[in-house]
Amino acid sequence: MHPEVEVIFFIFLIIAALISLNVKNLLVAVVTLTVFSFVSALLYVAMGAVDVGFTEAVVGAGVTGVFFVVLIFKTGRKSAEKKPRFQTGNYVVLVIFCGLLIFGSLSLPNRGDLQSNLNRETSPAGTSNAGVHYIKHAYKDAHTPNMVTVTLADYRGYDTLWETAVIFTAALVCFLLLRRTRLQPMMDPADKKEESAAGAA
Amino acid sequence: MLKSTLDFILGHYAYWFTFILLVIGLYGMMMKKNLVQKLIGMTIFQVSVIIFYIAGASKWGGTVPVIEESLLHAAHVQLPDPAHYINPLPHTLMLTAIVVGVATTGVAFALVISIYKRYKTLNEDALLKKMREDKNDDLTD
Repeated sequence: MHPEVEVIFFIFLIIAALISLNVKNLLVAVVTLTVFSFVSALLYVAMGAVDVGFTEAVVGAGVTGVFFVVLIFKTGRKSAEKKPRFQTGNYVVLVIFCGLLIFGSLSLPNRGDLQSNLNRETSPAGTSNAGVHYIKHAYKDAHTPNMVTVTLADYRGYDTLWETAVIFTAALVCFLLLRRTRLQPMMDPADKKEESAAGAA
Repeated sequence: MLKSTLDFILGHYAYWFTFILLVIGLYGMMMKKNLVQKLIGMTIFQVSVIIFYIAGASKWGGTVPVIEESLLHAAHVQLPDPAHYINPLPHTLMLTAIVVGVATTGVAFALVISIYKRYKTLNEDALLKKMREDKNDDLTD
């Protein structure tokens, strides 16, 4: 754990998130979101999750960014927001939500504590702790040095298998939605009245 | 007393930063009127949930969960010490979450494109108004 590095990345993340939500031009917002994703990939690597960092850099920063750009070119580029009304109720809800989360976090164990339930040899129920078991037996069972790979493909192979089913379903839904669609642009009420008048005549 | 307070802050600051990010994402989803901006808020929300798990997985004195090459032979005889490696389980779960998250975001994009094809706007207020007119038309036709 390197708190000094993590704090810098967290501050960058918050700045990038605020900019990408508040900018008027949607293309700028998407580019800032890609920066956000990339900084979060750096944060994962700083926290020791190298595999997650790779995936986020490729999938989160790359593919999501490209998808967003395609979406914006298929729709509109400006957010066309009128001057936003200050909605006090919503801000109160957000502050209460943040306060509840922080209140809940007070009873979490310290990060990185070797004696916490997450990192102990046995779980509170008395069984062997999954993460500890994987660390100990990964190389012996699968002869692969990377424990995350072993967990993903061997110990939790069914998870990964059904994940592909989820992705297949998502792809199918996208295909069905974007197929030559019956959706016609909705007509303006004025045009429609003229047309029906012409039809009646 | 002071030391335990410092330890507490050091052990929890990552969670607090994560919650701020989570609330920023929720702010985007609740208050922005444009559907694309709502999706950007959703992506931020997703990333902060992933950061929460990754932050929880770390250990003091633990390294990346990959066994070094020079230690591979020893790993057969003597099992690796769990205190030396970060917990690999949350990493695995979050790998799955990132990929599934992108797939579901793709579905959201397809929905937004179909909405735009029909109503030619992505602003929430204008959209709701047009949808109401649309429904009335269907009823009268």
